[in-house]
Amino acid sequence: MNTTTDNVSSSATFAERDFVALAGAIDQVPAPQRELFLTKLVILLAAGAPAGLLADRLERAGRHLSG
Amino acid sequence: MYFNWQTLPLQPLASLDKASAEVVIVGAGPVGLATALGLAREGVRTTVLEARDTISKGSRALAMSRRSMQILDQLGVGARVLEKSLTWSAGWTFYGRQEVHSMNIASPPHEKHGQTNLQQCWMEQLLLDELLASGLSDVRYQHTVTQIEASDEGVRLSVSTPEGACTLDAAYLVAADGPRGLTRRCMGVDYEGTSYSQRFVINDILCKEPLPEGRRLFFSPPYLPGKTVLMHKAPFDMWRLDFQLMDDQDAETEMQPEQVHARIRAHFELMGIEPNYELVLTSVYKANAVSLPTYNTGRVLFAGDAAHQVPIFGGRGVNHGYEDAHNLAWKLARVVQGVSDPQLLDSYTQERRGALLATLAELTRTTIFITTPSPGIALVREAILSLSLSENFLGNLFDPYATPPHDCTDSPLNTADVGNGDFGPACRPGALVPDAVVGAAGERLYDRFGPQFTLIAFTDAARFAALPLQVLGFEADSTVGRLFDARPGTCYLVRPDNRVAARWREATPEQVDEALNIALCAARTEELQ
Repeated sequence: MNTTTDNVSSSATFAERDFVALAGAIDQVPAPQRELFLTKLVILLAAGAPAGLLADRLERAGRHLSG
Repeated sequence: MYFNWQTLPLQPLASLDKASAEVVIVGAGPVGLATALGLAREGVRTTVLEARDTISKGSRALAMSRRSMQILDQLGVGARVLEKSLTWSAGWTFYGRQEVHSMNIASPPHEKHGQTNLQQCWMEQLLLDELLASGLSDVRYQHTVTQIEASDEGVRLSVSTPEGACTLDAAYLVAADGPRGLTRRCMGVDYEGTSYSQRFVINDILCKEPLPEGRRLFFSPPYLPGKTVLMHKAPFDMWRLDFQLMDDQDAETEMQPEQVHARIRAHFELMGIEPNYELVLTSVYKANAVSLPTYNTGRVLFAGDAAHQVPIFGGRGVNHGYEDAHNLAWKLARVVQGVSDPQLLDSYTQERRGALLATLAELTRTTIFITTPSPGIALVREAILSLSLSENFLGNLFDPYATPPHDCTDSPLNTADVGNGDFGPACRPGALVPDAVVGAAGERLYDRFGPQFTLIAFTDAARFAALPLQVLGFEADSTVGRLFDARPGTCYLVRPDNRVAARWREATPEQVDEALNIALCAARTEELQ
């Protein structure tokens, strides 16, 4: 039987095509530049996003990292 | 040379009035001299003690804000500052070899001044000349304060000079003796805040290259990857170049002429300029963002760097000092003269420390962007800057010049707008009043402000003639009226330091008198005119 986790109910959707696009883009970036690339990506996504969204996602990402 | 430093004469110790000084000021830097001049404007005599035997050396506090220039105008030195200074409004930010942002901080409409640069030595000289001309200050160089004892009744200073030593009693002491001053230690108070470990080598150079004046900020130049360089033009063909050191560089080594010239030549090469310059001065700087917990302890008051230290990124240090002087002088004068209760001096701490903490919060963000004290900050800055090569991501991020002056909206000296209804947020109690041309030949509103309180009345000014203040009458349908959101009947009570104390759509003399009492914080007998 499948079991649910806490955040399945938070309706986080991430399309398969975005998964493939992000993974492919990271693979194309030389390893020493991946950190900078991902930072730029976050900045671009956060620019113009609703206030508080970045702070919320940072908190969630950090929580998952430690978990 | 851009300034002729001379040894200032030692005043004979025998001529020092040791018993009757109303106010002793320790330190004859720009803040100490401006405070003395502000007190002289109020008719209060001062004794100024300075350990140096000359005007201070180097460009030091170079950049003055529009607000500082307003204050200097009111101290009587603004015109002479403008004769020698350089005004600027442009700024450019570079990443690597490319420009990624430019700014224009031209004066707002109706304001007289722009950003103004003049070397500190000239500022001290002009303030000193004006102070001596007032006849209300005994300024003594080569007088080193060695001990300070404060009590409820007054302050006793031990003073050492090449001629000998003496003690000096004063009713009040203003400590303008800088970040390493003795007063702070004698009073047992210490700074709170953050000191940054990143170091900058600061160079004053003379160079006739005709570059447009303004502030240039270089992030990660090719010869200093990941670090920051600031370049600022000063009068007399001087440029100030601040180079951040790499984390593993030794400051002493990097101050050696060979290293200094190598950096300057590399920078000139980056700018495509022939390295024709004369090196005048080299020093090392670390950013401190600190403040004393209080600026008044009994009869001792702290001003300028003695009270707080502000990172240099944004040209705020001495500007806070001038605002300290302007805020303190009218209050201390009224306390000394018995017009106000000493409690008025508490508002000096509340207002000035509030303004300082707001600046520190802002400059802390600027400072971490410039100095990148952590890997995360360095990474995000790198990302922002490199994105800015093709998109306007930098904008006014971390630009302290974009911030307007602080409003003392929570000052206990304010009379709240309660019941006054429909004023806009501009010119609210605690805010600085705007300037405007009000008369023929370009006369300005600020030219009409004196050391007393002023009532700006968009109504029959004669109604308030019996009040102990200056009344300036204007039509509501005028430039001033529009700046003050005035209607017929509107009145503003303005403090001697140009801040709104109260405002009304319709005011009675009794209401104005009550607000004046609140702003004077007293036990008032009679406000002096």
